[in-house]
Amino acid sequence: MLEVSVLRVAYGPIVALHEVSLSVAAGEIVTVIGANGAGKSTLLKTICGILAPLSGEIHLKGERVSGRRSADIVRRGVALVPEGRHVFPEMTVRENLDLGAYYRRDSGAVAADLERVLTIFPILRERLRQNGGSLSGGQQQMLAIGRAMMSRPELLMLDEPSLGLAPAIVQQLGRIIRELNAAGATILLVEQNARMALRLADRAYVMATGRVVRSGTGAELLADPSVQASYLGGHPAA
Amino acid sequence: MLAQQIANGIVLGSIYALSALGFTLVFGAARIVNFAYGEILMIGAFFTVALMGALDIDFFVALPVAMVGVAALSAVLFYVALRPVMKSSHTSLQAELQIILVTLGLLYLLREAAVLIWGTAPRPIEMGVDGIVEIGDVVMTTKRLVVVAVMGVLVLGLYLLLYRTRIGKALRAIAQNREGAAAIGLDADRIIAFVFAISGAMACAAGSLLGTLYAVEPAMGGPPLLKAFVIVIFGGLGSVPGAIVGGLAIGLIETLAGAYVSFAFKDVFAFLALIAVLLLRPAGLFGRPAS
Repeated sequence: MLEVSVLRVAYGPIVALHEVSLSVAAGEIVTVIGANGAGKSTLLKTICGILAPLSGEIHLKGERVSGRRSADIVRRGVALVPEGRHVFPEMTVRENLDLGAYYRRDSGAVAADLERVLTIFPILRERLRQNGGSLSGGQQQMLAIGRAMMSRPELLMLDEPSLGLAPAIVQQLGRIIRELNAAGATILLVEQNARMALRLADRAYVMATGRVVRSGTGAELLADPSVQASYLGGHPAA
Repeated sequence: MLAQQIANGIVLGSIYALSALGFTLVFGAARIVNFAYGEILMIGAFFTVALMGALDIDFFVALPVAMVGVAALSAVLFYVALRPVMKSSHTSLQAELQIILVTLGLLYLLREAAVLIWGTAPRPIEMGVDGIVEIGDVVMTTKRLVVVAVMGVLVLGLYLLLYRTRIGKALRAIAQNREGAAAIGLDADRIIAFVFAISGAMACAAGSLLGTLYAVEPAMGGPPLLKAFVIVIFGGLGSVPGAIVGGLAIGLIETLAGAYVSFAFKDVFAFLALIAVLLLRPAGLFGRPAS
């Protein structure tokens, strides 16, 4: 589904990603964990074309997409739920969701997808005419995910969806991510909440200071003492 | 007397609102303070004059054509002069400072270009509408009524564009949350270029209408820019209703203060009103408090 090879990205003189490579197979849940500033968000923004890489390549379903505009990448089936949700505060929930389908012309299927989103997130149906800015943090996160789903993505990328949410909402979020995956979406999940992410993930990558430093299955990394020490709040052995 | 002054204030306020709309749209969507906006307005007025002269056509035919021309010019200026600066700067402060300098540079470039092409002599625009309308005690030239009507039509058009079209929805999305818009793949450059085009068309209409009431000359852009600034801060930066209400309010305040207090000090009252609004609502009448 997604193949990222030796990607380098910089903000002016500051290099944010050094030769990052990773892959996501169709149907997988893959997570990228790491501390703040490790380059996780940069990676997602580059994949969906908001940032342009200095070098390296990104392939989506075998087709090179690095260097393309984000509108093209969204049309090719990638959707991003950005860190901090970024819903449109003075537009209704309905308008927010409609904007997720901005590039689609198949209005019949869009209506069906809207129905699906509202079934997964019943709270959004209740608030359909309310402004996005009036929702609680958890509801805004649901809206941001719903908005991303409205482009009918094959690859759904979530950036820190659990940030600032109550534990019960985080659990609910985990269930929803699993459901979306079961319904056919490939998931790339970036999280600082490593425990939740590793439990969900088929495979995981650990990033530190712009590099991938470890990778493995979710279970392997959960059991790994160095990962426990650094990202799961555990204590290093000895 | 009062009704007459209110009517005069609404005419002035209509032109103010029109000038402020184009200015506030660009600020709202692109966070760009366009110091060259007054010059775009002036170039727009000259476009109308030039079209009327060269093709011997009516004001109401020339105006829409000039608006399309200025819209194109404004979008091209964005792509040529502003977008490269936005792309090449890595921090928002750096970008903001550079954009201010570029728009200031455009101000002088456009003004001097107008002097070279059209000279400095003021030229009137003949709207071709004569006569006087009397409503009760209020007496007004038909021309001034047309100014208000044109403003009404353009505001309605802008409303429909923003709230009833696809691109209008994208435009509001970009204005409300740039990162959210990027996440769903909206093409900020194209949409901002479109905003510049709309802004240019509004400026052209405002400048041409000013030209029918007064005259068209290369230096005419300064006062409307300053007024647009006041109105947009008064009404709330980036707010469309704020620009309309603010424009009409400032027009009324100036006219009433000029008639009843002191004509020489009419601007003082506009600024007093601005200060009062800023004290009571720092984000402006329709502004959103910074989050």
